[in-house]
This record gives sequence, C-alpha cells and structure tokens, in this order.
Amino acid sequence: MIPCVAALLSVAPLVLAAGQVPPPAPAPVVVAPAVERAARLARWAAALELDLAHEVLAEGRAPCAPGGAAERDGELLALYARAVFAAGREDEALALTRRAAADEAGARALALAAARFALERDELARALELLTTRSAAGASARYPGCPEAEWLRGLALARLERAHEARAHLEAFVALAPRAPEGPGALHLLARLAAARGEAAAAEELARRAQAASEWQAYYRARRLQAREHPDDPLPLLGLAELWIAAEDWVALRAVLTDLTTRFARHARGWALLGDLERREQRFDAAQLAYERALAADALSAEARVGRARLALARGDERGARGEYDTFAALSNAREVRFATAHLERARLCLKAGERALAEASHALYRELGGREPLEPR
Amino acid sequence: MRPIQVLCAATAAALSGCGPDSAPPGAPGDRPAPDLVDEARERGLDYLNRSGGAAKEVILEANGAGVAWIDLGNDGDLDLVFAQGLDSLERITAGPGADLEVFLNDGRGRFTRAPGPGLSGWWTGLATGDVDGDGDADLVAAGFGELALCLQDAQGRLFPHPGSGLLAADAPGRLVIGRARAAGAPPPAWATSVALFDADRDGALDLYVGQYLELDPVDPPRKALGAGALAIPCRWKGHAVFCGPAGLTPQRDRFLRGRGDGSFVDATAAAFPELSAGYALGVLPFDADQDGDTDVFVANDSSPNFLWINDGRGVFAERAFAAGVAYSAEGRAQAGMGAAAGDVDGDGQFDFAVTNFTDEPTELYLSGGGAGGARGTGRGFARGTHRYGLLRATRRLLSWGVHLVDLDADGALDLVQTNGHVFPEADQPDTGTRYRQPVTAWHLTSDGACRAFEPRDARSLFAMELGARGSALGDCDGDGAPDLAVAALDGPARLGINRLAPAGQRLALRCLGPRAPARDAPRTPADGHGARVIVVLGEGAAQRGLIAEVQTAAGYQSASSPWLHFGLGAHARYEALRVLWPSGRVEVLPGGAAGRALVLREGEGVVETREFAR
Repeated sequence: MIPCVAALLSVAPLVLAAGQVPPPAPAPVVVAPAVERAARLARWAAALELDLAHEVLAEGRAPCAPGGAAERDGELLALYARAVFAAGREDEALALTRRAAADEAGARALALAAARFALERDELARALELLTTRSAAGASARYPGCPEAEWLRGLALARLERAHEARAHLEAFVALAPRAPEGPGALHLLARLAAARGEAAAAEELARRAQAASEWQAYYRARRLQAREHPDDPLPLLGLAELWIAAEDWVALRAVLTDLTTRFARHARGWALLGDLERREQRFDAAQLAYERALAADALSAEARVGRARLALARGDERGARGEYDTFAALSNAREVRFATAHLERARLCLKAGERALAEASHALYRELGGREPLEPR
Repeated sequence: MRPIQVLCAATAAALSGCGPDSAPPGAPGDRPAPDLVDEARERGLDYLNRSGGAAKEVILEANGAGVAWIDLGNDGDLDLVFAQGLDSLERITAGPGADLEVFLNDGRGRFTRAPGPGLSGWWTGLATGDVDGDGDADLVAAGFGELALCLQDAQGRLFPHPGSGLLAADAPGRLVIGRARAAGAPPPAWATSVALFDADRDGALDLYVGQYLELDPVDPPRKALGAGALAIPCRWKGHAVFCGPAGLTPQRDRFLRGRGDGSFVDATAAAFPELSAGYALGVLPFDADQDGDTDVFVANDSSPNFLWINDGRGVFAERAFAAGVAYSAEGRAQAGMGAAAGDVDGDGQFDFAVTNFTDEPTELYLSGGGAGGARGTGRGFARGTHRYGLLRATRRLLSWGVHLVDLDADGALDLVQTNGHVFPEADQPDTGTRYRQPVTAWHLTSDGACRAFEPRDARSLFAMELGARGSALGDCDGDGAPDLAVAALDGPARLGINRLAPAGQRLALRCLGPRAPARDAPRTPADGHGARVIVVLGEGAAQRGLIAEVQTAAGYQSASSPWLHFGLGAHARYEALRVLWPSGRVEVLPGGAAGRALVLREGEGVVETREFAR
C-alpha cells in the first residue's frame, strides 16, 4: 500500500525533531533525490504546523510553479497549496489541487488538500464528496486507514451534524495518529458526541484526554519554536526529549537525542538520556558507550552514574552497580528529588549485601526526597 | 462606480469571503444610497482615538476603546460617549490622563462636544443603565487600573460618583495616571467590557466587570516571554509582534451588587463561587436558558469562554463546557472578543454570536439544538457557524464589536461586526489578512451561504478600512433605523447612518419599569433592563413572533441603546405585543401600525407614541 501522506506528516517531527527545522533551503534545480524530498516534505509539514506558511511559500514558489521540479509532485504541491491558501490566495490554492499528480500518493494528497479547503469554505457537502468513493456497490469512505482522510471525513460529518457517522472516523484517526496536531480536536469532538449520547463518564474521560493532549501539543509547539529561536542551545531539545519520554514514544525520543548529542557532543545529560534509551531497548553496549560519553563530558554527571548502575543491574552485575550507586551518592546533586528512586535502589542493594545501617540511611534519604516505598520490597 | 468604490468593494469582499448583493451602486449626487454611510464628521463627531504608539509593541495599545449611546438630559434623543486612551505608555506615569468624550445630540442626529465628567485614566469599556433609579441613564467607565461610576444630574451632565464602591481608592489594582510607578508594582486591574444588568431581580442594576490580564505598564514584556533559551518568542506567522495574552497572567472578573442608590458592593465570591481567571474581553448578559432571569456569557481571549447560568436569585454556575460554548468545535480556546444575542432562527429563543481572531470564525450558537443537556442550560447550544457559512465569511477578519440586528428591516436578523487586526504586521505579504478592515454585515441564511451587505457609497462603513474596536447601535436621527457608532483604533470616530431600507417597515420599543415599584422583589429595573418583548406579526398559520430583550451591554466594550429595534418586513402593522417583565408580570398589548417608536411602561401599556422621522 502506498503510504498516506498524512502518515508521513505524522512522523515529520521524528525526521526533523522540530527544533531541527532549518531555514528554508534553496529550490533544487533538478528533481530532488528521495531523501532530500522526504526532508522537504517533513520541513514543510512542520512549518505549516508552526504557522510559518511563509517559509513554505518562499521555498516552494519555484519548484511548484508550472515547469518546476515539483510540478507534478502531489504531496509537495498539497503542502504548498495549503501555504498559498493560508496566504489568502484561495483560487490559486484550489488550482494547485487540480494539478495532475505523478502518482497515487500525490493524487491522494491533492484530494485531501482540496477537501481541507472545502471545509474552510463551509462547502461541507463538497468536502464529503471528495472523501467518498462511489461505485456500483454504493458509496464508501475514500482512503480508509489514512489518518488525514479519517480526520477530515470525521470533521465534515461532525459539521454536518451527522454525529453517529463522524464518530467512527474520529476514533480511527485518534488510533492511527495519536500525536497528530489535530488529535486534541478529535478527542474533543468525541467527548461532545459522547455527551450528546448521554454517556457522561465516557465524555468526561475523552475531555480529560483532549485536555492532556492539548497541553502536550502546546508544549511541543513551544519547544520547537524555542529550538528554532535558539539553535545553539541544547535546552529546547532537552525539553523535546522530555516530552517524548512523557508520551512514551521511543522512536521520536531517539531522533531527538541523536540530534541533541550530534549537535552538542559535550551535553552530558543528553548522552545519559540516550544511554537510558539504549538500556531500555536492551542495547547494553550502546548504552555503556553513551554513559561513557556523558561522563567524558561531565565526570560528575549523576544521571550517568545512576544509568551505569542500572545498566550493571540489568547485566546482573550487582557489585558493579553498587560501586556506581556509591559514586552517585557522593555527588553534590544526588539529593535532588529526581534521584529519589536511585537512593531506594541503592538502599535495597545494601540491604541485600547485609549492610543494614547503610541501607537504612539511604532509604531515609529516599523518604526525605518524597519516596513512599518501604525499604524491603513488598 | 468610481475607482475608490471599486477598490473598497473589492477589499471588503476579499476579506469577508461572501458574495455581494447584486444591486448597483448609487451614482454621485443621487439621493443617498441604501448603505451604512459614515457621517461622523459632518454631524459633529470629532472624536479621535488615542491608543498608544502606531507600532503596537504592547498589548494594551491594541485593544482600543468602546462607545456608548446614552440619553443625556432625558430629552428623548441619544447622545454619545466615547472611552479614550493615551498616546503612549509613557503617558501613564507622566500624565495627564484621558477623560471620557461626550457629544450631545440636537435631536436630529447632529452632535456638539460637551464637557466630559472630568475623569483621568486610560479608558476602555463603557456600560449604561439607571443605577440610582432616578429615571435617567448613568454610566460606568472601565479602564486600565480604573473603574468609575458617573451619575447623570438634572442638567444631563455626567459627574463622577466617588461613593460608588466600584474600586476603592487604595485598591492594589488601581492605577493613578501621572503618578510615578516602579517596575514590578502590583499590576493594574485591567477592566475591559462591563455590563449593567439586574442579576437578582431586585430592580437594582448590578455590574459584571470583565478583566483581562496582568501587565506591568512600566516594564511590559516585549518580543519574548521569559528569558534565555526557554523564552517563548512572541511571533505571529513568523513576524515579531507584541506579547500576550497567552503567556501572561489572566485576571479574575468581578461582580458588584448594586444597591439601587448609586453604590455597589463586591459580591464576586457569593454570586460567582466558581469564578476562575480568564482573559475577558466581551460580556453579554441575556437569558441564555430562557427561564426569565439574566445569565451572562463572557467571551474570553485565548482561554475557554464562560457561560454563567443564573439560579434566579443571582447566584451563577459556570456551564460553558456543558452547553458547548466554551471552546471551538475542535476543542481550541478561541480568541473571544465580543458577543451579541438575538433570535437568529426565529424559534423564539435567544441565540448568540461571538467574534474571534483571524483564522477563527465568528461563532454562531443556536439555542436548544445542542448536545449540552447539563442542568441549567436547557438543551445547550448547537453550533450554527457552518450552517450559516460563517467560517468562510469571517475567518480572514479579526472581529470585535458584534450585533445581531435587523439592519434592513426585512424581518430577519443580520450579523454586524467591526473588524481590525491587532498586529500592524498583518499588512506584510502572505498573512492572508489586513491590519485595517471594514465593518462587515451579513444577511444570515441557513443555507450555508450568508450574503454580505456590500458598499454602495464611497463613505460606506462596509468600504472604509478601519481598525474598528467598540461599536454601539442606536437610532440617532429618529428614523427608526438603528445607526452604528464605531470607535476606531488610532483614528476618528465613525457614525454609520442606516439608510439600508428606506421603505422598510420598522418598530422601535422602549421598556420602562413601573412608576411605583413593588415593595418586594422581583421587580423590574426603572430602565427596563431584562424585559423581553415579542412582537406578533401576521395571523393564523402565518403568524410569527420577533423576540428581543432589553440589554445595553453587547459587542465589545460598548453600550447600545436600550431601545429595541424590530424589522417587520412587509408587515405594515403588528398584531400584538407580549411583554415579559423581570418582575414576572406578563402583559399583552394590542396591535398597531408600524413606523413608530413606542414607550411601554410596566402596568400602563403604551405611554408614548412617536412616528419615525422621514
């Protein structure tokens, strides 16, 4: 199956972890190689998400013009058309969607852009028609399983006050693209539909999820803008990494951490987080290497020491782990709240080794930092 | 069509996205074209708005001023009061402050500047109503760090009433213009829209004060919020712009219970126990759940809207989410600016419209058709925005003042809004919008394609590129057609004289409380606030009613006339008037001819009749 453009867009942040969105590149003279084209697709999608359509306009003007390199590249044209539409040139944008695309993926992207514009113009019946396939067997949803198509169809049906039909498409969209920018909107619509059905508990839960998703998106957007604003500072990228950790999206996290440690080779925390990720994925040698890079950057990195201790435990090396925990405990920042669990882990290792007094002291520190677990595992 | 007309018409159509009416433009020298024509200057309105610097580097400079129609002198015509700001932020500490600007009507719609009440401040919103029950209208002025009550004396002059209790002299949120101020001092209470209405039906007007955000006028945020790598750049479509409201601290609204003698007491906690902070810009009192008391909708900027449902005793519960009016359909907190109520779909219940930012539609909420269903909201509100084609029509506009009114007397409500972007950077290429925008109006039809009123005269408000903010409706020349006063940002006032339906049938009604109010509540306020009137048209199967409610607070930071204006379409007469007074009394009055202004007094029926001026 040809990958849906929306599916590609949904991973755009992974390809270019937002902060990596560089300034517009000059238009290529010849058809771009696949990698360059994918990067451009991701870059344009990210720019549209960040309300920076002018960057797409600047970069796309030449290649998307008749005779340009992207003249029949439907996926690029669709994104460029969205930028043109946002600039107020609606007729020009609509004309772009009528271009003949070179392949099926491109044709789909243009049809979806046309449906998007129809929704913006309150042409709800037309939007729905663009998202419908008609055959002798009857009408059915066009592009099933494509997140963008599911979203647009759900939205059109909701606006047409056909709630029952909208629900399935919105649910499909949320399942297919849980971190899409439109995710909070879909969850909110689903909450309203649940309320209309009198399902108060479901409505409340969906509203809670919508709120949480909305807050995550707001942070995600802010961190990406900060990363663009301060490309020489690792903090926004670190913030992005923390967002992906919260979302438990390890693929996206790897992309950000790879970028972070490539651009800031002496960023100890970035390396330590990468070590944690490698350890989580059982790539112990890679984890070991990452922790070493962290300690090379900052010999007093508590994160790296704790990471190495946990890595040793994962390898069954309790003695090695104990040594790392002891080194960690002597560090000046070991008493920060975020390290509470490390003190519990050290306490239990000490207890196992029969060093009760040391175990209790370490556990007391754990409690002091807000921990509630008993010294001995339940 | 002269070149300027072509240009302006094209601009208005491009921004509004609606198809034009098909009637041709009037030729120069002909009798006035059917239009909303600006005649401010020739009618004597020389108000010029000041709102900080032209570059708009701080959010305070972008929000502009309100305007109020008010009968000063009880002579039966409508006079005008404009709020006024300062020409720079530095003026806040250097002084002098601004006064309100007052213009008296000669009865034929010509105005003369009169002395203001002598206030000093950076004024924003205005509210009108008879707060001391003496039979004439008074005025509340809201400002950046100020809230003042001006009573009207027997000579029709407004004078400050120091004992109002609206904002204590030593209140931390008070800002004294011209006084030195240290950076980091407690932020001024920034009042925006204010609304006088009777919350508890005791006959005394109460006051809802919409408040915006915390802003240090000495050291306001510029270009970014925060510092270092985690600062949030203040950008819009890639352009550096002023910061806020997002990222700045919102302020909590206030509610003051009126005692009926010109004094108020803060009753926020008791009357609004669930109140949280929002960036309030528009305050709309109306009977949202059709139970006879007054509820309050608050249009919040970049935060969820409030819908305060009255329990009938003046205690309010927040029901916006349940009623489906807190967020956009897709769950985004929109940049609510202004709000207006009216029966758009003719079902006898009040619907309402909320103006928003560019790339957001003016939302239309239709009563009774929604998913709300929560206690106190009836069946909630259904979103009529797309059904009426308002996303297409309004999403390239940034809209403030809003009115649901029958401009052309065809018997159906039209949507009128004043527009103008907050960022001068909107004029940069490819933003999809403009800094200065015309006033817009649409015939509301539920076939998904509202129809725009198009300019037919070079001086049409539908053609002029303004940075309009506050607007108020009132019939200043006695012809029965509501005219539109507009406070434009950094520019002269505009007065759109309504000549949209010279042959249309109209009826204007003024409702007054009883001469001898009942001893106990519920009582109707002296100026009729909260009264609802149904004008019955036609007979038999063709019979229908037009409903309206007396509320002066509508739109953005402004107060419209207390007169109710009905367009009767082809009906030369109405069959009956049904009046639902806040006291609980219901009166049915006999029919009569259109083309008149009637004054109704509770318990007495029609006490005054006047034919419209020709």
